[in-house]
Amino acid sequence: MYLEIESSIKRYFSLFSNLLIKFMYSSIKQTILSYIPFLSDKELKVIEKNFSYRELKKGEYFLKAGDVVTEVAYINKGLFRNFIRYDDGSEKNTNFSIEGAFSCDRRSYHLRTPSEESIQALEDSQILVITLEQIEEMYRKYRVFERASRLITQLYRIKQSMQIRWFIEKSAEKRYDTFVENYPELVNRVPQYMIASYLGITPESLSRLIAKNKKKA
Amino acid sequence: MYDSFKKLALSFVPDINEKELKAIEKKFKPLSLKKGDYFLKAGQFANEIAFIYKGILRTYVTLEDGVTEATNNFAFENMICSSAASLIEKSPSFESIQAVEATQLLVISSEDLEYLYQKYHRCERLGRIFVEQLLVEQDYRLRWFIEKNAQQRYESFLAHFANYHQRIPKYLVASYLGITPESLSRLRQQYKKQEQTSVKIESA
Repeated sequence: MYLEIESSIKRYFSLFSNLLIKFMYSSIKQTILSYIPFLSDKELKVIEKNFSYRELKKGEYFLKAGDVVTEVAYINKGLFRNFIRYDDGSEKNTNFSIEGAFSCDRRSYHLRTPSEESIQALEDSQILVITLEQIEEMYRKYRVFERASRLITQLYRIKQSMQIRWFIEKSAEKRYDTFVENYPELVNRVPQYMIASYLGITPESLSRLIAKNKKKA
Repeated sequence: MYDSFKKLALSFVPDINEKELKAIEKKFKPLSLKKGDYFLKAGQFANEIAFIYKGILRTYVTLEDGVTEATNNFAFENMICSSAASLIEKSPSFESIQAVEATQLLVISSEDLEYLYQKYHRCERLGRIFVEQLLVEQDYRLRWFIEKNAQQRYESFLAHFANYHQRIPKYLVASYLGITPESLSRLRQQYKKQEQTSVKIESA
C-alpha cells in the first residue's frame, strides 16, 4: 500500500509540474508562434529546455551597466526599463518592456562589448532566461528559431525607427500624445518622470503638459 | 559588384558556401540611379531591398504640411536599405527612398529573398544578422536624440560619418539631426571658428 501511495504522489506531482511547465511556457510559445506559423513538438520542447524561470523583485537588476550581455529575458509578467546613468547621477530611459517582450541590451548583445545600459525591473517580474550560447545552439540546430529571431528583431527595428521619428517630426506635446496612443498600458505602469526622459523632455515640462491637457478636457 | 556583397556576407556568416553565394547572386539585379531618382516612393508597395555598391540613399517622410521633408536615414556603400515596415506589413510605404548622388545598387525582391530563406539555412542566418546590424546602428542613432543636444548630435554625426558627410547636402543633414537648416549653419560656423582657434593655439 505504501508503494501505491508513493506512485500516486509521483503521478500527481508529475501531472502538476507538467501543468506548471505548460503554464510557464505558454506565453513565450504563443509569442514565437505569432511570427512563424508552426512549431513541431520537438521544437516546442527545445523552448522549454533552454529557457529557465526566474523571478525579480521590483528594483532588482537584470543587467548592470559595464557587464557584457550573456542572457536574454522573456517577460512572462512584469515590466523592465533600459536606462543609462550618467556621471552627474541623472538617468535617461531608452526603452520599456512588458509582457511578451524579449529584453536585452542589443548593442552589447551583438557586439559582445560591455553594456552602457542597465536593465531594471520596475515591478515584481517573472521571466524566462536563456544564455547566448543556448540561443546560438538553437539557431544552429533549428532554422525556425533563426527565422523567428529575424522577424522579431525586424519588428523591434521598426518600433525603434518610429521612436526616432517622433523626435524628428513631433513637438514634445505631440510626442507625449503619440506615446499615450501607442502604449496606453505603459502610461499607467511607468512613473511619469521616467516617461519624460524617454520622450526627451524634463519631468517638469511633462507635468505642465499633462496639466494643460487635463484643463482642455 | 557582387564581390562587395560576397565579402560582407562572408564576414557575417563565415561558413556560407559557394553554392549559397551563387544562389544569392542569381537573384540580385543591378540598378543604377541618377541623383534624385527614387528607389521607392511614398505610397508605393515596397517589395525589394537594395544593397548599395556605390552611392548614398536617403529615406525620408513628407510631413503633414505637405512640403517639409524629414530625413530619417542615410545608407552608404556596403549597406542594405529598404522600407522594412512596408515590406513586412505589405502596406503602402509611408516613406520614400531617394538617391542623394549617382548610385549603383544590387536589388533583390522579397519573393526571391523568401525563396532563399526557405531553401538555405545560412541565408536565413545572413538575413537575421543583417537585421541585427541595422538594429544596432539605429540604436546608436536613437541615443543621439535621447542623450545629446543639437551640437553634440552634429559632432557625433561628423565623427560617425567621417568619410561620407561631405557628400550629403547640408539641408538634408539638418533634418536628419532634427534641427533647422539655420541652426545647422550656425553650428557649422561655430565649429569652423573653434577649429581655427585651436589651430592657432597649436601653432603658437
